[in-house]
Amino acid sequence: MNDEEREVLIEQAVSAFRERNAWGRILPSPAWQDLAPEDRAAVFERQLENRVVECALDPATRSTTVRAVLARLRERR
Amino acid sequence: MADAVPADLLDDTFRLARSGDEEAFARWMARVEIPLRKSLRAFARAVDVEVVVQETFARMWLAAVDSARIFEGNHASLRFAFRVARNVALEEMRRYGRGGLIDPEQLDGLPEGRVEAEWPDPALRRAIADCFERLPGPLQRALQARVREGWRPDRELAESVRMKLNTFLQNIVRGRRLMATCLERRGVRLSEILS
Repeated sequence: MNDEEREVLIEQAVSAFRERNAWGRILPSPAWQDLAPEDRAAVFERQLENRVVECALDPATRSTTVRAVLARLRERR
Repeated sequence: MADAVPADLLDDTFRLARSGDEEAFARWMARVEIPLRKSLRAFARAVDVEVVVQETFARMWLAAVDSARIFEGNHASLRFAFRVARNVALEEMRRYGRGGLIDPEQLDGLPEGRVEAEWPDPALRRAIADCFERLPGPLQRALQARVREGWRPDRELAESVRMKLNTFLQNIVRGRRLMATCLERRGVRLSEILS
């Protein structure tokens, strides 16, 4: 894997989108699973920075993680 | 660094959520998310922390609307959320057999729950917004799609901005690099603020 491919994989794992299985359990990102442990640490730091950027740019200071959870709660109703 | 948020503000927000108010719960999550994430750094190599944070919030909602559950003391909801997150992280680690990727001694020193009074700091918000506005068109469009609707699959977001998936992701990578450079010029290093 070259540096660009690795960066793209890390970026995919940074997303707040996560698949769920038939029982509703949230599943790890396939991109995250393909990464080496040191790259997973990089995903963590980038997710943290990215959620701050999302909060800063959102009028209600909600990150995409918060909105993902809200969407999940509304689906259950 | 801002002062810690008054306990009654966070607790009042959680109390409103307990009546089934999803908007109040969203405000509570927005306050708690960053410190909660930071508390999970020790697990980053072993579990997908995004899964842990989302599952923790889903369980906190169930606990919030359970009238039999009692939350007592300052920041009780925050302290409870930190415990839930740690348990979810351990469950994920066991599920995928990744215990060897974490030093058990690290787990003894996990940080206690604390949230900031005003987050993000207004000056930081302005700097981020200014740098975002300066991004070249395609990079800004890709990053904006992620920032606004990043809980949706990347394939859908790429289609919404008429980009191929790989181009979309590469634009986000480039956009982030430019944002980081722009913020550094203003004396802002997110990695240091969040360490």
